[in-house]
Amino acid sequence: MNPRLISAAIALSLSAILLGTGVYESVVVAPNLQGAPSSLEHARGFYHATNPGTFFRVISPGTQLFLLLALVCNWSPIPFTRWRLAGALALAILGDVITFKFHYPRNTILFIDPLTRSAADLDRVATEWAAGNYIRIAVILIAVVLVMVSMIRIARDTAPGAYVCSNSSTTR
Amino acid sequence: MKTAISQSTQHAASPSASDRKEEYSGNRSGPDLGLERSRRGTLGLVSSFLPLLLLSMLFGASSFQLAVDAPNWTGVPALEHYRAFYPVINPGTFFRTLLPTALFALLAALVCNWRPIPATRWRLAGALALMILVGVLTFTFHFPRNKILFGDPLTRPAAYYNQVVTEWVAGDYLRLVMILTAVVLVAVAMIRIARDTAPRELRDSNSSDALKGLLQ
Repeated sequence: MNPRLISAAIALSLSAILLGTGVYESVVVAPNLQGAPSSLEHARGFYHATNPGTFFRVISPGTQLFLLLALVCNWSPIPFTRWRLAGALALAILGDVITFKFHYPRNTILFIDPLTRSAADLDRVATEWAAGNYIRIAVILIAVVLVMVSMIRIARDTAPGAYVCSNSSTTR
Repeated sequence: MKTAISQSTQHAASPSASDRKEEYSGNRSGPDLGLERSRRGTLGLVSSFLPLLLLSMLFGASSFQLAVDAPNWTGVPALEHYRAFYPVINPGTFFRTLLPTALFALLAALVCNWRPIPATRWRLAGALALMILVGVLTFTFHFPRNKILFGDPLTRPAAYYNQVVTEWVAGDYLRLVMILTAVVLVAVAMIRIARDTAPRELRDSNSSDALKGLLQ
């Protein structure tokens, strides 16, 4: 195993973890936010020790860090891999930009501010939150595919010489 | 002119359909074989790609549950809030879809990569066995505790529920370790398949690079 492959593999695992949690939130959490204000009161009552933010504040920068590491480790050998990993990193950053600009203001309304707005207004905010999450999932999915394709290329490029020789001789 | 004559001779001497069939099945040309191998290789690679994605997603969702949900299951009021927050769709809905899909994708990857490399076959079979074990653990260990925490009336003392949550979390750590091992096995298998199905020109350039390295 070499650092080029390991850094890409860790970046891939973390991106896929991020994708899995994003899908989990869309499938399990988002539909239950409907039916405000009681649904939001229960969510606030339940998330008293930790909340999803605790998890994403660790996993999201971790993913970006390992994507950057994979990009640095694979900068020079293959231009295609470099740009794919750079694209994945840009998408991971875009995912965070969406989180900060779109989801954070809605998180404040749904989980922090006093529930003084109308039920219809709160439900609309929850619907917007869910729609934004679909975009975030699409962005991360593209990043995962880019890292996966890069990893396949890196795996082929870093195949040990002896293995490649024996493999190509058996193929012929 | 020479080409025209040879083409007409070829046309005149073209074999019958049965002869062609016999010739095709008996002595297939190199490029055809290469194309079929390439198709099989692509299928093998794509089939290993999907379970890796699904298993990593499963690992992500399970670790999210362990890190975000489980610490909040402290005390009867929190469990009441949890039950009220998940009236129809609950985490079970998600896992009941993703786990069988991941199992099916793993089985497909195992079938598609059964023959070429024994090491890959056993890695994928190991991952499948581990994921079946995850299912067994969920049904026999977590389901009864889920029922106590999220189904039955909350009539027992808080200490009892805390004990059940502690057990649930311990079982979940075991489940996460098994999923992570399966992810690693599938990732290593995918790397091996990717190398084995590399286009010939890449292999040749790699082997010539390796030879250059040995000579230097």
